[in-house]
Amino acid sequence: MKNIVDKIFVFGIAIISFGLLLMFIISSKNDFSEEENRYLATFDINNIEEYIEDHFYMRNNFISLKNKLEFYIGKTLINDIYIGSDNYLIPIFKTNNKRDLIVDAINKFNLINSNVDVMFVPDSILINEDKLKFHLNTLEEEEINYLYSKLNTNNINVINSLKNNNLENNLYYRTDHHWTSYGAYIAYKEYFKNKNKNYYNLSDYKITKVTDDFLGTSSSFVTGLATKEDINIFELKDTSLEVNYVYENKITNSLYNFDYLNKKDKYAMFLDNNHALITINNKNINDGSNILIIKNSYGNSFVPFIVNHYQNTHVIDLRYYPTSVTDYIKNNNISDILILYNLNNMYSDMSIIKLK
Amino acid sequence: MSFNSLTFLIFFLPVFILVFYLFPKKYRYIILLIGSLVFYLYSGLYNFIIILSIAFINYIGVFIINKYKKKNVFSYVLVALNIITLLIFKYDNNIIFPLGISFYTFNNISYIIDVMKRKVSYEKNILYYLTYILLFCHVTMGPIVRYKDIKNNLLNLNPDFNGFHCGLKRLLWGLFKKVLIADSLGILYNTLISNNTSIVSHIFCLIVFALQLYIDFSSYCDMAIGLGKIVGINYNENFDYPYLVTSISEFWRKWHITLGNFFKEYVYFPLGGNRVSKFRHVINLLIVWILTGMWHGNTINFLLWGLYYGIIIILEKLVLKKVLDHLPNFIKHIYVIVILLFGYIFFSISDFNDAILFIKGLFSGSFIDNTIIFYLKENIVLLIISIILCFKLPNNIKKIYENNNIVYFITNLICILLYIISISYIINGTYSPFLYNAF
Repeated sequence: MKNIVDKIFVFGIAIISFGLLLMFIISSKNDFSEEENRYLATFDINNIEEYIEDHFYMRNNFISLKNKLEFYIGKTLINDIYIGSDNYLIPIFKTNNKRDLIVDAINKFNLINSNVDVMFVPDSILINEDKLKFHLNTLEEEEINYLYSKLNTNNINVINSLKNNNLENNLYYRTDHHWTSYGAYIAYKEYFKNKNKNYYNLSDYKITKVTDDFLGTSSSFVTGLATKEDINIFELKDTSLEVNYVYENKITNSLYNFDYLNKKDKYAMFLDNNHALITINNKNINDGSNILIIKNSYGNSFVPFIVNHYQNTHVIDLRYYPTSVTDYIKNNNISDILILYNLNNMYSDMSIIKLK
Repeated sequence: MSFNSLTFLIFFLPVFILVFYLFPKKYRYIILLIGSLVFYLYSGLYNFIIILSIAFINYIGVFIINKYKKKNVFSYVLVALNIITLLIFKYDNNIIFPLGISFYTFNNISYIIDVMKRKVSYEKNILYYLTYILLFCHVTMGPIVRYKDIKNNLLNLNPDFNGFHCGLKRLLWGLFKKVLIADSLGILYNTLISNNTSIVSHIFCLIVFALQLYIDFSSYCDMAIGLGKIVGINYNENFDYPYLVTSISEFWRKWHITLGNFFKEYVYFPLGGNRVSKFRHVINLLIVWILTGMWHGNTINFLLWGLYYGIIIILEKLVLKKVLDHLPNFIKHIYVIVILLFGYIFFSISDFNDAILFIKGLFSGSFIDNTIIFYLKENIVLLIISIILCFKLPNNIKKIYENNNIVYFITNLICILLYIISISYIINGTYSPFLYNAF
């Protein structure tokens, strides 16, 4: 009996090994991974291992097997994502020891272009701390307060209002590192309160669910553990817009590119993903008002609320914008300047220090 | 390629085994040599040229020495040449450190001295000699192996099914330990070392390091021994439950055994061992332990680490042994664990100031913090399994149930499942989603 089991065992291992070898050779290879949002390794004699792992047969199934196993043995932090209650996947917050560079860049910028407004948006982990299965001090609130205390700008703190309004609607996607349109709305309201201007109420908007099939970037880190969710957009009736993607020479009449709803990264539908410079002209307004928003991708779902108040909304993404923002401000008669970043991504890419 | 890579497991090994067993046993050593050349060449042409040059020089050196009289003098010259080469590569940071040179230099030295002392006759067939030096089972991380121990195996590579099967299981056992346990401990350690805020977190950090180091290295040796069995070569064990010992001297007889034996055989005994005056004995021990420290790395912390063990072992031999003999076992265990954990500070932290900072952290600051409780809870299963792996329990259970057919069948099934899970863990290593679009 034992001998037979031994033979079956050896046979089993051999079948798996040779099977995977064979399937690797004959299976078709993809260049791009939608799941991971990156190009897979190309064949390189010096890095065969990476090529093999990237193009391994049933790669995504193997990865979700690992994630599920870790989840079932009780892990709540997998690949830098906390598995929270209510199917929440919450990216960890990473501090950054170069934060003073950010302070310097913004203060210098504010010295030349006075009246700069700054809004650092907290990440899901701070607003959804109650969803974590273990109480952790993420230090994000301390970070934001530190930055605000060092800045000479007009700072808009949205932590409390986001925390207080998180019950009714999801202010952050469960499967993505971004905030939802609801989250962006709360921040917009807070911004306009701060500027003593009138803002629209939630009931003024036509809210449209554009997909219920969204699995965001956090879900990519823990494949196998996510459940799909909705994306909603907020629009006012009878708004006529002209959206100009300046560097791409592309003009449309919508803030959204619905083609992205057929792809993995559906959040990219807001403002057609990230562009160096976008100008949005609201044809219903003729008061000559101009606002500049300097933002990362969090701004993409925030801008739709702003365009209803200004004749021209200018949107700059410093990751791609090559020249001086100050020159742009001078040339375009801009009165309001808002810097809007979520903390985690601002810290991880640091493009904000290119501000000049 | 490392044993825990898919290149090795899915590509190299199956093809190698197939070809190896298809050949008649007379020629198998050639397949083994070709396989080893391919395996080592994969690590780069630079490494490959160096190992071959060193091997040729040693082969020709030993060959010539044995044609002439005055064997001893020339043998020592050749040994010195090997040591100097190793020292140059170790201490000149401008040149890349060749893969496995610490191990194959010691193999060469053992070969030269064993031939000189007539413990083994010199190998006329260069292919056998090259196979011994380049053998993929041990070339990168040991175990250190003497030619006399595997010569007979090498001349007759004929494992039966049972040998093959045991080898395969041992290889997989090592793979599970490495991929599922040791690497997870490694990730945990890296997280902890950068989040060290309380006394408990410092201690926890050291415990995790101790578990990781043992499971990582012993898993590698499991894989090497398993691979050896697959091709018909019997290696000596390199670990014998080192964390269960009751003194530091005993620990070093059970930890990295082949290295300890090398130093004993080729340094300690030739210096006179313990059959000399007390003072000379102390000096001999110090020399061995400074060399052991230097062998592990080229930074000052490894020297300190070696010295630390040298001093403790001297103290044990002179005074502590008498005290320890009168103490109950559990106190002896605590004594060993405390000494080992403290020693790992120097082993794991290469910067001296950082090590001092770590020691300060062990004795000051808050007692416990929230983060450490989170990581403890988060990794409780991993930690329990890791600790069990340090005990004889898994082996004892295996012995009890070996004759129960049903249990045997189920454990084999689990083993196959673990193989699949291990592959998923290896793939996850490169799984790196980008938050931003790939621009």
